[in-house]
Amino acid sequence: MDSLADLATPITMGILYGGLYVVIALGLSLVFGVMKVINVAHGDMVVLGSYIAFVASTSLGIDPILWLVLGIPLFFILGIVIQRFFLYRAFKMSADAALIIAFGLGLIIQNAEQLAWTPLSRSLQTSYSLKSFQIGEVYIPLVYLLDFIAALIIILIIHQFLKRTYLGQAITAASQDRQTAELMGINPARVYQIAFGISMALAAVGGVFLGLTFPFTPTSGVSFLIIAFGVIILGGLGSMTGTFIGGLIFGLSQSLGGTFLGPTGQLLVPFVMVIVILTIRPQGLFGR
Amino acid sequence: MPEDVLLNVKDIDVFYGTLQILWNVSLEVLTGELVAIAGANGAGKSTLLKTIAGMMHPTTGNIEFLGEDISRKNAYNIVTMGISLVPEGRGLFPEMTVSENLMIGSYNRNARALSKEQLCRVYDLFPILKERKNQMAKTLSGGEQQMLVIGRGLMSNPKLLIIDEMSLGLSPLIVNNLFQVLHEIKEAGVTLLLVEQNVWKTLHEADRAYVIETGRIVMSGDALKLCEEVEIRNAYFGV
Amino acid sequence: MQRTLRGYIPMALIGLTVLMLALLPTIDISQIWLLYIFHFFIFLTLANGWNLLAGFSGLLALCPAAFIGLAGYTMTILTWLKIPFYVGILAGGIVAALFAILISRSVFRMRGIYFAIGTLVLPEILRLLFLRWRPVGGGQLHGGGAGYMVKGLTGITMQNTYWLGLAIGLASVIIIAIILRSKFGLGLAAIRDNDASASSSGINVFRLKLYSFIIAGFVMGVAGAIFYTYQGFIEPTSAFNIKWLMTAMLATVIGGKGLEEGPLVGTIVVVILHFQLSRYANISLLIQGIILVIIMLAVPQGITGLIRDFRKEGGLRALRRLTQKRIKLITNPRKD
Repeated sequence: MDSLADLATPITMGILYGGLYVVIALGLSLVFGVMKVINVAHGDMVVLGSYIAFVASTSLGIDPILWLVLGIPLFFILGIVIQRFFLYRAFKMSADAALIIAFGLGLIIQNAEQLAWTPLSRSLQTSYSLKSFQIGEVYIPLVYLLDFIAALIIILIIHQFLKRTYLGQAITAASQDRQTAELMGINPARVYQIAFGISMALAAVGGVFLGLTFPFTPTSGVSFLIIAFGVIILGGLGSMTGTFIGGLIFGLSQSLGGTFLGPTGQLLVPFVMVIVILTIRPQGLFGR
Repeated sequence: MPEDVLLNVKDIDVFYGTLQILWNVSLEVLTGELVAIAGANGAGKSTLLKTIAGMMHPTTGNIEFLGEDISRKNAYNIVTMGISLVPEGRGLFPEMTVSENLMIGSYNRNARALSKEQLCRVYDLFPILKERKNQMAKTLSGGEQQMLVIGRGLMSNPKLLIIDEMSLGLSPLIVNNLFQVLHEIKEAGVTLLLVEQNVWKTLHEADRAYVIETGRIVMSGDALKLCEEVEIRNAYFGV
Repeated sequence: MQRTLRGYIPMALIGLTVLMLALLPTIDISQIWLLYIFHFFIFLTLANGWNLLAGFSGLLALCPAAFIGLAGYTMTILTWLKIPFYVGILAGGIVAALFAILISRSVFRMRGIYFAIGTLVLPEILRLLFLRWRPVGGGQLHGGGAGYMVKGLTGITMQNTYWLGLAIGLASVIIIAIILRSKFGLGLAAIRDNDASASSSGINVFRLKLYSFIIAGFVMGVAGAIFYTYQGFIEPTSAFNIKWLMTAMLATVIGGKGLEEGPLVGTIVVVILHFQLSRYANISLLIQGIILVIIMLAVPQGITGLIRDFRKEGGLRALRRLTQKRIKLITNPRKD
């Protein structure tokens, strides 16, 4: 690394695949916003999304991105079921109970994946997996650009949903003041279900783009959970712009970490960043 | 004044954990009235309102609204039936705009269809809210925030509007203006139940009143008559 | 007089049990039983440590693996520097405690969920660091990770390891018992009830939580180091593995989180599970996860909590209440 020009490639790549973290973090943040509970299984659910897309693409020959037409509603329903029959019941006891349940669910998912698809590392292979494009001197894999575009689209859709629909406004209201929201006629249990459903749908999207971008194993989930949480605290809860910028920053840190410190540095740098941000300002940098 | 009973609270006991807050409380609100509940801090006023609104539940006794028992219902169902509680301390959604705050007030399925007309009505009552409709709620002044939460309460198209500590921390001038608006709201056919520490002002505005003291109703009747009774001063100032 | 005599009976029973456990290796008992009981001691220590944090101090710490891995590595590396392993075990505990102090500044500023995630990152960071860092030369094991053999273990029998395990297991029980009966324990109880009001009534919340954190770090660290003298080698991915958390959490939750005797009961179940499931290693986590979820939803107070309820209310009534609750949940899942 002797010149800045050499860094142009990792910087561009990091920012582009940071889009992946935007999508994953957004799902985590929606549930965190309304329930004030971190779904510690979110990373595992994202990886589950990767595996299901893997099956769709290898056994049924469906393109992973096209698969989302089915995958999104499927995960949405799965989310409502998990929320209704597991998380919400624990949530009524205590936040700790909900976290322990989520932890248990995460391990169940991991082990089930290991049984079904072995602990070996997998990735989603498509006709465009190896394609790349050129900006000036820099060659960028096409899938990284797709990550970024996906993030833009998702942010736009979620933003419009939260702003323009009664249900979206109910989620927004409940994350700002749950008790008052109930006085508006908003049923919190229903809001939690919808938020969790959407969070899972986003996990399906995140899973597909994760699989296109990085190789994954059943235990990959925890890394993505930590990074997604880092994105939320960096960007601030409930701020779309914050989440977007936060995601790109984490992509960038990962990419530069890999460039300077080698493969293990890829995750080391973002993890250390999470701890540092938590230490400096536990409620997030741009957060309220 | 029409004589039908809108809200009927019958002999309720309410506990917060193991601590009993309300003892054998009964009260009635007739359609079209403006009823006040007065009492010192900690007398149990807010608990009474929360129980009516379904955020807490009585252990004994029941609460009827339009003849239906609502004492076991959840807060979000009670709004739909036509009771709107304007919470104490201006519980608004700080990161939502003024108009978003108002629109979420009409979330319940009975109010949604009428939300456009209701919004016009609220803006007529509080023109300042229309001017600030795109501002974040947290940027409003104290008086404007109170207008916003009252307006939001009206958005659910309630039959009974309950306001908790409306005048808390507001200047007398603003309080006077708010009471004027309340009378307009009453004229429009909404029954009002107010809870106030500001006893004198409230009793002068109300038709009937109840005085609550350490969780029990100690006096009730015509507001002006109550006003004259010396005891209320004692009750309030706790002499 | 009679009462005091009665009071001594449980003490005597406990003493007798400990004595029997201590003498167990001297009789001709199968090695596999020693192994089971050794695991019981290690897991019990972890559960006691985690219960001190999550059950008594309101600290949902997800970092037991950090303490265990660090202590294990400390002990192992010291054996490479020709320092005997028993010194290394103590040093491991101290390093884990120092690590607790070091990170307390950061993680204690975080509340609730932030604390949980903050502590979840730590083992991951350590794992990545130890994958890169080779403190002493050589010793690379299979898999390419920075694995080390534990040196200087020749002549150490299963019996010695067993006694070490017994020592730390017993110590963890005694430490918890002392803590809960001291002013410290009273302060913790106040914190658990209400953080804010405890601090306004003059309890130094930060300091009490810090003490818990350090003690738990030390105790878990020592247990971890002892475990690695048994295992004989260490490598980052298993040392800083989330399975440690799962073990500690499962034992505590099954027994009863926040109850003194919870870990004892829970660990018995976990050890049985551990060895029963080793035959089906591929679904071990799956089954543990399912048990964790079911216990948490159905019997959140754990086995000991359930027994307490039975005693308090009389068996039949408690049973009736439990089944009623179940039926209500089944027939009417939406409400309540």
